[in-house]
Amino acid sequence: MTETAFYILLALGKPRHGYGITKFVSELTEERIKLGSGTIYTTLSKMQKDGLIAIYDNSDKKTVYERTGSGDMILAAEKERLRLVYENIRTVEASESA
Amino acid sequence: MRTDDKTAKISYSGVQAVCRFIMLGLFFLICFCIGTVIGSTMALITDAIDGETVVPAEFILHSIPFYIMTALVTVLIVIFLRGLKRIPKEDAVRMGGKLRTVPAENFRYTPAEEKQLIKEGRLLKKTKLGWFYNPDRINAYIQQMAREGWLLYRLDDMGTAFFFEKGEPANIEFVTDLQSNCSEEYFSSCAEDGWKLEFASFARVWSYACWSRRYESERPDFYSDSETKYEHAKKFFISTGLPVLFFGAATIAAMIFFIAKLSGGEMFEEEGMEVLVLSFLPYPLVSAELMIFGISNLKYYLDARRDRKNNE
Repeated sequence: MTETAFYILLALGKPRHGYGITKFVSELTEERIKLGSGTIYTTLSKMQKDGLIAIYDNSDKKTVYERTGSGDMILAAEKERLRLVYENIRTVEASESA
Repeated sequence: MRTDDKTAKISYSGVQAVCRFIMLGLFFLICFCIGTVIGSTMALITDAIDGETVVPAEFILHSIPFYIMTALVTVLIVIFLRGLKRIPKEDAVRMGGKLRTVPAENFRYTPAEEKQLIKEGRLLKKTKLGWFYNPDRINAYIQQMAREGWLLYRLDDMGTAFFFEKGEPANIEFVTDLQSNCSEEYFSSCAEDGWKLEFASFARVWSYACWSRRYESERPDFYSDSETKYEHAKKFFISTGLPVLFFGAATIAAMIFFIAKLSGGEMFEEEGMEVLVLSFLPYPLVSAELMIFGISNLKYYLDARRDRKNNE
């Protein structure tokens, strides 16, 4: 999973629209990651096609997306993988400083 | 300054009618070329089998059913591709009805003012045919113009010409984005993110939008990772460049085939040869145009693929 896809799935724990996702990710990562509009919409289209996200609300000129059950599962698996990566880093750092 | 929205809308619908007329003309031209190829091939094959000499005028006659067949097949393909699109119908109708190709607010001057500015050398019109096939190249061109103090003012309604206004040198990023998800939300979200809509095509098969953004030092990324840029380029190439290259190659192959076939026989002396020669006139033009556009689009795709590889 790309970093972009991970952060978009993470943002969609709450229903959000395209620019809402950009703002959320930018604030969360202290502007380390600024998702481009083209990136957001290409990824959203792909995720919607793969069933990872779905349209929550399409009224009032804003399409709001949210994570589906499959999206939750994929995100949980990726979080677990990242946790393991982080633990590995800690283990190596601890052994190097010892 | 233009404030009358109604005037803008009337001129847009007029331009759209011209666009449709040109598209229809191109469509018939392609049907004519493909129909002639198939019809003439059939005529040559059947007559070769029968051992008879082919009368050139018969080529055209033989081709008539194939013109109709090509037109029908193309219409079916378009209907099929439209069916694949997931744009909600009401969205497409709403967007097509409201925005047209160039937003009304982009026209800061009336046509008379524009003419005057062009005369005074403060406004420059540059026609760029086929720029759509390589978004990176047109972006580099617009950036170069902006650095020289020619700032993008607007596109024309058909999307073939760019107007530049003289001003202070600046940095401008120009993006052409092919999106199957061109909902109203897409337009409002990109605008909220700071992008200015320059052009939008609401054709169902190729729906795309052009965005521009001025910046100071940090170049804004419409695609913030090379993966999505690559995805975009791949989709663009498969839906546009590849069919264009295929038709270009098919036209060249057909030309070579007929030149080889005709130069070997005595058919140039036959009556009605002028009709045949006339029917081949569009071939070099169509094939050269298609190949240039297709290769340009292929280059965009290969560049995106190389960037993705470098970032891996």
